Amino acid sequence: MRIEVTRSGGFAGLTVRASLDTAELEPEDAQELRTLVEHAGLDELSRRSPLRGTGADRFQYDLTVTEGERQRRVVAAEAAAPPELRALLERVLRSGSAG
Amino acid sequence: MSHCRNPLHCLLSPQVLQSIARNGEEPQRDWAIRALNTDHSIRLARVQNAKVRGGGPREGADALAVKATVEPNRIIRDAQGQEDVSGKVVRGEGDGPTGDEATDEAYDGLGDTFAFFHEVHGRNSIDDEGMPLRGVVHFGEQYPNAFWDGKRMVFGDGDEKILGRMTRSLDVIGHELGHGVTEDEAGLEYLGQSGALNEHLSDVWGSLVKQRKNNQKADAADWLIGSEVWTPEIEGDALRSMKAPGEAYDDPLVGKDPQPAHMRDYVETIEDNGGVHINSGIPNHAFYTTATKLGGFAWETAGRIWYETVQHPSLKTTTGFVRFAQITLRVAQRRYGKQSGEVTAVEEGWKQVGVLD
Repeated sequence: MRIEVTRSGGFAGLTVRASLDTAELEPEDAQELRTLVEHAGLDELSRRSPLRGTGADRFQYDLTVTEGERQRRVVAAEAAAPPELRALLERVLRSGSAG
Repeated sequence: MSHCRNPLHCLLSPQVLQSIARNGEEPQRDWAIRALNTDHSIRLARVQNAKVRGGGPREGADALAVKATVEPNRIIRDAQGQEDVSGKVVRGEGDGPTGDEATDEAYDGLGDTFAFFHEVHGRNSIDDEGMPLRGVVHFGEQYPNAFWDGKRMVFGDGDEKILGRMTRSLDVIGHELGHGVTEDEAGLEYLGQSGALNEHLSDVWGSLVKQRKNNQKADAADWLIGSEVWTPEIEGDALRSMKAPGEAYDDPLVGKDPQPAHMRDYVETIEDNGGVHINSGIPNHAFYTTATKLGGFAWETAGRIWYETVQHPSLKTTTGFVRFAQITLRVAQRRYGKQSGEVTAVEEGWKQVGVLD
């Protein structure tokens, strides 16, 4: 399973990209990531995507999760991203490789 | 129920004062704005104004919080590293410095921005009805951002690697409060060109607040946004440059400033709500060009034209660059005359960036 995250916008308008592939991770980390994906509610969120927010200068997230043929994508404003999705996004941004 | 402290103000209805404030010659206009601000009847006027705008009268706690005198009402909360905007109040209006840099910078910066809008434009806070200025500092963990959430200005401490404490730059604080003003007056949709205009306007207010604080004329100002925010490791003067969009930074870690300074380089993207922080470089540079051609203090003429544009009934929530430029021209023509140097400067600004030809 490959997970790609882009965070764009914010006051500085800097775009940050990161990705993780469970095949390249230690079994423990891979399991943690699968659990985060499971709890993020991606089926419903991808149907509602893009999730729009209010205010200004907040971040915008773009998430793509690929498992074999299956691909799910969620574009979400920071203010509209549920905590379970944020947990997954932050995990990938924190420890994923750039690009 | 109206309490008239100045009998002159009582002679004219708020509607008449509003009309003078909008359409009168400079001295009458300034007098009318002052009268509206010092008279309790401003609330009635705002109800009338809301009807003109097509919205309903404002209600709720903020609308009732109007004071007899026009003073800021700042409330700074400390999120203590959480993503929580309801943290403890650490500095309220009139309280002395706390010694915490972010708290005191937010308090002072919101005060400078309030003074800018009040003393230059006769505006009483974000909603022109004395809305409390709610600031939140130390938001989130290593949070490299500042934002307007629709009700308050929120500031992170930065990530220590790329961006530092966001309250360091006065123009960042002015930018965030400015989003509140733009939302209140124009509600420009935060997407594509209307979003880039929303961003542009906040950069204008932020830069003008700083220029006024420093008592700088247009040719002496740096026209930089967020020049104190990068960490020392990053190669860059600022986050953005209105004078030279695209040249604010060039660094191995964060790359090069992506802002265009001309329509031919407009960036089509789905990121950042359609590049609102990128394409704002185009109107930013038009404003810079107009202001430097006019000379003098940028907030006195160029800033006034832009402020009246934001209040203009023709400005829609989805207005793009061309329509916005046309409204700035109409405002300048009505205010300074069709053949005036002011109109020429505005026109040259928009031609410089390829929005008008």
